[in-house]
Amino acid sequence: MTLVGRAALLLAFAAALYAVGAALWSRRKGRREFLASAERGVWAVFAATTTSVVVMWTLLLSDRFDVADVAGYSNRTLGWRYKITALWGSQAGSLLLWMWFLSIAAVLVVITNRKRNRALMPVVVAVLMGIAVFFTSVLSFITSPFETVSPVPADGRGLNPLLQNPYMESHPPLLYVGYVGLSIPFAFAIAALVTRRLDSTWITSIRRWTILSWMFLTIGIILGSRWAYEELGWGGYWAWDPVENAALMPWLVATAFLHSVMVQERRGMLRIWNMVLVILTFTLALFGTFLTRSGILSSVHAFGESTLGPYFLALIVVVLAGSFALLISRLSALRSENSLESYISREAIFLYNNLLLVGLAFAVFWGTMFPVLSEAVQGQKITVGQGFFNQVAAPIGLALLFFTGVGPLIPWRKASPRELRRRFAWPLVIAAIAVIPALYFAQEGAHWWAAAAIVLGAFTIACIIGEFWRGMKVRHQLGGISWPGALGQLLTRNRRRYGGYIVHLGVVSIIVAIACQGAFSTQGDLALRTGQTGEVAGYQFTNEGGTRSRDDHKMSVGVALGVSEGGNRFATLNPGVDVFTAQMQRSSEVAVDTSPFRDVYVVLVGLTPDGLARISVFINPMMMWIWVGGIVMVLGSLIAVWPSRRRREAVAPAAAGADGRVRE
Amino acid sequence: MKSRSRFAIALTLAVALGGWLIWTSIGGSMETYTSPAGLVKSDGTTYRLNGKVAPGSPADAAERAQTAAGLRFVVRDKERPSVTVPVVYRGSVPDAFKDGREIVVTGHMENGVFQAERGTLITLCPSKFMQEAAEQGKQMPGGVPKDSTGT
Repeated sequence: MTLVGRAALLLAFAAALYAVGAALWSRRKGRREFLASAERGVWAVFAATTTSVVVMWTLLLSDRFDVADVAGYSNRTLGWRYKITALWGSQAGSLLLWMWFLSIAAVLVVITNRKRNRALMPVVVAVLMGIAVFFTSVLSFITSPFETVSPVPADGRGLNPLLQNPYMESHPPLLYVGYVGLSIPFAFAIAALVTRRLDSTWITSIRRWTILSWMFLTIGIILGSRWAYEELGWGGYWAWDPVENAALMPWLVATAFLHSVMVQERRGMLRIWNMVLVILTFTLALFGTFLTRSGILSSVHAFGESTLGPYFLALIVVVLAGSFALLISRLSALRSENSLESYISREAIFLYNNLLLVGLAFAVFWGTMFPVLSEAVQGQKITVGQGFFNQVAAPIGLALLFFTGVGPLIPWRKASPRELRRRFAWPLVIAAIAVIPALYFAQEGAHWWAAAAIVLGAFTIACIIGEFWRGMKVRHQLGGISWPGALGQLLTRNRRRYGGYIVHLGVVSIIVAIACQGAFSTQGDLALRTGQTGEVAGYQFTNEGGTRSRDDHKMSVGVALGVSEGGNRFATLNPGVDVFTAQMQRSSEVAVDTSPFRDVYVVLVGLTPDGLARISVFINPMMMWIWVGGIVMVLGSLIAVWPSRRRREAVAPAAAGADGRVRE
Repeated sequence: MKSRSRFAIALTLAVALGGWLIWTSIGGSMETYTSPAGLVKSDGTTYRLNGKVAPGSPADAAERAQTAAGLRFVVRDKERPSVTVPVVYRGSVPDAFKDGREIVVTGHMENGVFQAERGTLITLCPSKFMQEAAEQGKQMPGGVPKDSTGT
């Protein structure tokens, strides 16, 4: 069985190598038929990788403990769902998952480009399969998921209890889909550079890929935070840990790219900049994997140091050096078609937004890598605390929030003052009203930036609603369509624009929630005997008795807490602690009571035999809106990428005409 | 051309502002990453102390860390096991905290005791632990199941 898996991976490696060769060969005169062969090679890579994934899952499900990764990450008592999850518990397994997604993405690219972009495809296939060559060779020759052990253990070590959580089940694959998806825009960018087809065709071909991968990255990051919040039991959800930053950096640069492509489509500007962003996004995705695999930084998320670091570093250097050399050789063909006419225009706002996003990504990179850099320069490892990240992210986040509101209301090229006054009148009034509660809150905690987030949030939401309102009014008055009908038309006829606005609503929700949580959360520790009551931030907690139990693989303690506010009892929370006997690993089970304004978050720290319960209480304001904002962002992205019949008809002939080869 | 030079000035200003922001923020939050052997100054320098929990740490660590007295445990140098430093810590204790576990904690030295800042204790599960498990004859190559998945 393991032999089948290994053979499939080797086959995938060979097929990928062949596809690279055939794709490049097909670029020569009279050899075009080799492109079809290369594309069949992509299918072969997909088939072989799928086989090895199926083999790995079969091994996990049938408890084959002679396989190292099965013995290390699964055991007999693990449920089948977590046995499937255990695939990405191990290092080799997670690389296999990455490779599998890459092969799926490559096949999708081949299918969707059967009739378009024929001139670009040889290079696109070569780049994607080149990445596949890297991953399959690592999986075949360096760290194989099919390594066996002897003597064969009677039972496996089981999956880390911290990972036995629905969010952790789903978040790594989603993050990987995002990472892998970003390799498609990269492949198309390289193809455009190599073939010198630098018009906007490549950008329109990858638009949907970029938004979708960005969306998956977003879901992955948000579910990761949610997992940290529910499982790690420290009351927070984000700690600027290297691993978190590794996912945030490509997300930030991809966000910048999503916006700046619009400037290129509309005005033919920022063409070099877009290339730089695509290359950076993909490199950062690789860098993220490198960070989590190399062990050069210490992280809460406890990755094993591995031997893979140098290989990834080499890949990153090759990708960066190669892409930038190519980019420089094509600079003359990438001249801007227009220049900036005014500092108050849509394209200028996009430029500011880009600078802020990339600047933030750079700051995060700098902060994350500071220990490594300072050790190299000074010989002393200096780390920067969370304070650094918060201090940098707060003003940049606020500025971004401001431009989120302002940008869509400012016309392209040049804005007239009269138009600006008309469009911003209402949002400014709303912002002025929001100043009152914001000042009230800021007074309590003296956090000016939380107050600023509230005011800017109100302003931005007013701007977005104004956009919807204007669009609906036109349709209602001119088309004679009902109001809801007008809203429906906006969302279906101009998906990217209004989907984007909905994403913006989600972003506002998240930024305001982060600011409020950061500024106004309170924490308190209580030690309560049975029947005793203690208070944190106006909430009373009563110990209503503890419980103890044990089963085959864990010992559990728990306590029932009656929670009330001003004599009004509104919840019973049951925080607990499990101790898994196999690994002697503690796992806190936090209890949370959620309402729109605040989370009451309780951790059981310990329960003595005589009934003394020590608990940690966190009151986190507005927490719910981080998760709501995430859902709204995903909905907005889905609206933006949903294929509309009208567009498909309009795009198909144009795309076929734009690439020269298909009709020859 | 004039607008281009104006643009260049604006861009330079933006970059300078960003650089200044990063510079001042970094200055305020630097911590020296060190092992117990590297803890020398007791002048209030903020350290991020990395080492292993020496045997004998209390079983009810999480509960003690909530008391006024705090959790007291000893951190041992990874390379030179004879070098140790006592630590006093208050705040939440990660579930993985126990004897032999590698930790990182932020704080400063005071009278020969490492005074940790509240809530800064982090546990790590590096590859060393796998070797230990293997040496102890547990014949398990995977070692501790690692969180090797992402955020």
